[in-house]
Amino acid sequence: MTECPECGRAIEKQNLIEGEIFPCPDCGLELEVTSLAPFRVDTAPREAEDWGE
Amino acid sequence: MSETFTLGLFYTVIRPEEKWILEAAANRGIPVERLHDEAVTFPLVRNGFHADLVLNRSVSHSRSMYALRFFEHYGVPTVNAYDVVALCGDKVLTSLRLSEAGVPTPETVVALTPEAALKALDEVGYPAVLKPPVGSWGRLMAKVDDREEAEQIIEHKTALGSSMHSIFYVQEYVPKPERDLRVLVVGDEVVAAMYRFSKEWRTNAARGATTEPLVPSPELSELALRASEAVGGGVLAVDLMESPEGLVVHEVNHTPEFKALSGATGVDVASKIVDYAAEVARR
Ligand SMILES: Nc1ncnc2c1ncn2[C@@H]1O[C@H](COP(=O)(O)OP(=O)(O)OP(=O)(O)O)[C@@H](O)[C@H]1O
Ligand SMILES: [Zn+2]
Repeated sequence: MTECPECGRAIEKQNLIEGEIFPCPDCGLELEVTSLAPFRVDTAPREAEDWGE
Repeated sequence: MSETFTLGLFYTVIRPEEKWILEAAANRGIPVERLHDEAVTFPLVRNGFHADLVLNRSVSHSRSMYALRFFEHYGVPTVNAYDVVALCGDKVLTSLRLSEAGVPTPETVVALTPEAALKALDEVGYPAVLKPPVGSWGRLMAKVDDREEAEQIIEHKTALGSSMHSIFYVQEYVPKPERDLRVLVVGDEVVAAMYRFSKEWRTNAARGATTEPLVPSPELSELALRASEAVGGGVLAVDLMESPEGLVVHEVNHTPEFKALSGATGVDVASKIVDYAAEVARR
């Protein structure tokens, strides 16, 4: 278990995988799984000008 | 599928789309080599990676461009191909190619300086739409209602300073209904299609448009396939608008998101993409 860097909400590993992004269930901030063992999350990378589909 | 290959997944972040692609590969027993665009290094001579084909899911246009060129250089096929991404990632080049292929597309005028941009807007007439040549998700696009607004917007863009902001892609404003159409083409197959509804003139799913599945008419399918073929083919999302004169293609997306499309239609787009990648790898 780890916590949201923004609001401190506990984040469980569940079936998340490395690199996965998901919103914090409490504050909604986009988070990224940066490591599985140990389980770590960080703020998701910020959208740059050349990002898109 | 009998002979397996290793699928390289070049990515920035794992969104639902990438997670489904990983799952689809796992279900087929296809090993995946994950290639994080923030971590991979590219020597001139291929070294230390195993993928037989690379599926590009990076959201960064500049990272995609260099990476795909390197994979091509290493003799590794990619989905999509470098040339396709180069073309579709640039609205100017896309418009040129669509026009060359006779695919109906909105009237567009390109200007290379702020002064010429004003002229281009006058030529196209108001309202007009100003788009950055590279960019997506409806970002930095402006609807320009009159000359006064044109001057303000151009001044603002010029102040942003970067060289890409001084290329002006000016397009007629298409008075469409409150929706546009997205058709996903994989290889030579139309895989799924949907409407995107919005009260706002921009109907990007990324901007919160609502979606509805759509059974493509033969005309729509044919047009989407022609647009896809015109840019070189692959996994492509063709975006169209209903203009008073009929359907027009306004862009072709080279690394399409498909969460909304899969949600709206129930089509397992990720599996279609993985099967297509496997097919390309076998060629
Ligand atoms: N010429 C136009 N007239 C009217 N509406 C337009 C025009 N061009 C684009 N739009 C609307 O704005 C939306 C975004 O345009 P466009 O697809 O060109 O931008 P984008 O940033 O590349 O979007 P994305 O890559 O996410 O599809 C379109 O879905 C369409 O609804
Ligand atoms: Zn939080």
